[in-house]
Amino acid sequence: MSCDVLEVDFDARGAIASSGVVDETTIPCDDVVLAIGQENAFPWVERDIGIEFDNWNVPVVDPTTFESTRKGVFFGGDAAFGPKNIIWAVEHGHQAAISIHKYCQGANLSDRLPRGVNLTTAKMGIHEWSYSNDYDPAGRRIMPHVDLKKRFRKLNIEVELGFSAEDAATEVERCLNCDLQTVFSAGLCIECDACIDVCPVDCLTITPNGDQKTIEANLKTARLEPEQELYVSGPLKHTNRVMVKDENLCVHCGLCAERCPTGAWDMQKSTVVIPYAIDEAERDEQLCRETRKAG
Amino acid sequence: MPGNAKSRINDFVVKLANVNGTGSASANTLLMKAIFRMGIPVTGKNFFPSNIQGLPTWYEIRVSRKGYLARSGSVDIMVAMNQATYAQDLAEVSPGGTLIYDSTWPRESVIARPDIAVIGIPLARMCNERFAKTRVRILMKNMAYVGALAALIDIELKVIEKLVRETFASKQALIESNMDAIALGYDYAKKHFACPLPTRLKRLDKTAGHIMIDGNTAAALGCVYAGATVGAWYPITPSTSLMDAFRAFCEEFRKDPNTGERNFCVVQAEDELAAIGVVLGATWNGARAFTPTSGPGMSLMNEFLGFAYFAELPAVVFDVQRVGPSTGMPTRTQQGDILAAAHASHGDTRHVVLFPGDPRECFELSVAAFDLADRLQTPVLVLSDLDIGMNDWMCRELEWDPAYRPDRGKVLKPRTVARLPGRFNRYVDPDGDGIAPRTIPGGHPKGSYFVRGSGHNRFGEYTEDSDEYLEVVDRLRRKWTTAAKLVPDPVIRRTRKAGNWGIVSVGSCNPAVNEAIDRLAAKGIHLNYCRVRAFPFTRKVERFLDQHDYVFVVEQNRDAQLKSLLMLETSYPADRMHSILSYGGLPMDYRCVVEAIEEAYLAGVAA
Repeated sequence: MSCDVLEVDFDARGAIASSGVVDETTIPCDDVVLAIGQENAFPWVERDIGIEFDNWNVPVVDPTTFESTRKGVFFGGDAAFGPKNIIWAVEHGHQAAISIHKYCQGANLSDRLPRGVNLTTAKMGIHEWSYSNDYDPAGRRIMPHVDLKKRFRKLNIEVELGFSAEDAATEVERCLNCDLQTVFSAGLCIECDACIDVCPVDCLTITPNGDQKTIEANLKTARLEPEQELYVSGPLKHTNRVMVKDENLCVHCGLCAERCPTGAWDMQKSTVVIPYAIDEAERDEQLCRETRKAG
Repeated sequence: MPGNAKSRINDFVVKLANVNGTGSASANTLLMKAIFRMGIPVTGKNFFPSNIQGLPTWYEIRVSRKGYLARSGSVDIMVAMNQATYAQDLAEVSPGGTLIYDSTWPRESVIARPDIAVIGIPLARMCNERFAKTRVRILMKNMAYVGALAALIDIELKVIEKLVRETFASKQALIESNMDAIALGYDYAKKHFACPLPTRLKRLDKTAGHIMIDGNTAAALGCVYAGATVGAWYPITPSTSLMDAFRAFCEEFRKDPNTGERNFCVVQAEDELAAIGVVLGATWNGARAFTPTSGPGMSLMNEFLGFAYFAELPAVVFDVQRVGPSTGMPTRTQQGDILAAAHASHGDTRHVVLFPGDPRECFELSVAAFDLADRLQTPVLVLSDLDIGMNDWMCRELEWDPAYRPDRGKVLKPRTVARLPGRFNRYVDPDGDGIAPRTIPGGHPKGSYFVRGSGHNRFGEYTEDSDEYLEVVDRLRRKWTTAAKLVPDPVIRRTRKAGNWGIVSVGSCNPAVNEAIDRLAAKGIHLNYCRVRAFPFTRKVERFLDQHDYVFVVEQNRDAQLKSLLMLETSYPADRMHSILSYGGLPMDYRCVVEAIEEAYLAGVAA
């Protein structure tokens, strides 16, 4: 494929001021698929109905409510903040739905349910967890693809063939289970050091409490990411020392929790809670019931 | 749901696979007791590891409307609570059976078999949501599966609740949490599955007049009833619970109600040799004393057992047998100490050995052992095993004759000693039964004598003179003949249709042999059965052997030790005895007896 090499100058606003061909280059290819992009354009929106447009000619949208400068009109997807991917578009849809629900209820659009993280223990028994914590150090499985020639012959063919049952089983065992958090309860700790002893990356330390510098000096392993905050527990009941964890080093293997005789270390599954319109609706209903009961 | 929907009422096996140290034992016992209280004959076998926490453990509950108490060798419902043994537990379920597991981590891909039904219940998840503390969650998970089983096999909830209330009578909070956990499992099963399963319970009235008791507790109770006041021991599985029970009974019944003084003495010695030393000191001084131990402890006691035999001191030793040799498998059952007990210690020694066949006989033979030890002035060894000693067996209620008076044997009172015309001679037998009267130290100065394990004459004096030595050891042989007349006779079961084939067996083989005899009879093979209860063998054992052309000797050891003893001590020809041996460490199941005899029968018929 032969291409012209352009030289471009931008003006103060960032728009192209001038350009010119300075060279030519050839890239060797088996085939070429044209995908040359798209653009937001809103010629169909009248400019006198109270919807304000910015200097890129896209509507001004509230980043929380997705409402435009005209009440009751919402934007989402590429139309809201320019080109993003489909995952963002789905999220915009959810947020706009919440806003529309609130708008219809006559409620304050900015008063939204909080996001959060739910932690539930994964412990099923003494040495039993509700997930596979036996990390497999095998290398990443290579996804088999349809032969290149076949792909060119039929452009809409699905490229990835999928893993074999064995490869799929190996691949899932490589999971680091980063949704499982190591959660510490200082009140249960008997300072037996079993977790420190078993930790394969030495990310745990029990040390007298003190300022950041003193604690850092006592760490079993020097920090690789000094900017990342250390976990420091409350005082342990026997010696008033503290449990310190360098989250950057932790591989979530769960061995500390597995070995802990009192359950002070626990592996807890974290679920991110993102409220949707239905949650807002349920809250409204509940409030309604409570008001009625009170009345 | 796949599987055979054929209804199985009051005749199936539930096996519970657990992790050791998770508190499953109390839940499993509760299950078994609940079934018992519904009037249904039941037996529970605990297969546990020699480990504090973490290794796999199983509890096998057999429900049998016909009252069979042996293992059946198959599993109809498996409660798989140990992910480390999922594969093994899955494979063990009989076709058409059911497997229940904790689906907090759903594993349909791993736990599946086309010919059984798999029931997943999120026990851990429900308990984690309901209970706050880690330890409580793990404990309550066990109660949750009890609840699920109650729904699935129709255990009456009010029976379970009553048991829970009895167990935690002093702890109201525990009653509530346990019942909560039971409700979690019960409600979930009711909501998600067709309850009850075709394999289920139905109230009967076949347990009246029976109790559930383990052999060690029953033996300890026997010690109390026999008037034992001294127990010395060194802890060893599976005999420890015998001393625990003795101490608990004594704390209750042997304390002076006014002064609170303990009228008993329990000594934990530094090892088993010291323990039997304490026992011999106590019995020499007139007390009834005993020591509970197991094979390794018996090995250590050998020196003093020989001493007691030769010095003629009474003693009762309980050997709750476990798997040998050496340390072996401490928590598995076997009958491997028969020869070692019969001939414990060096030189010409033979000991009186009693073989209880169930916990009820542990009680009865425990009392008999003290009487025999006093009467014969010699150690009496009671050989039970882990299966009898530590598992709960359904037995007829224990009975006690209030007219019982301990047989202290030939003991001269101080008054009698004082009136003796000459001196007191410790080892003179006045009436030809081989037993010489003894005195209790401190009674009368004339009654004093030296106790020695070295060569002695009939006066108790040191000797190296052949004739004097022979007089003593030949009298001991006469005493052995007397013993054979005093020890318990075998239990003989005769069938009218039986031909000239018989079974001789011992101890905990009994339920398996009895069931095998019934099952063989249904196939037209009829056998008589003699269960030996003592060594030396009484006349009735010899007579049973002589009445049969061919005898199967069923026992739980590799080397056919009972058969060896029969070969040594009877005139019955060895080539007419056929051994059936089960020695893998698990309680015997009836199948091995049925199969071996059927095979021999077919071969015999063909010949």
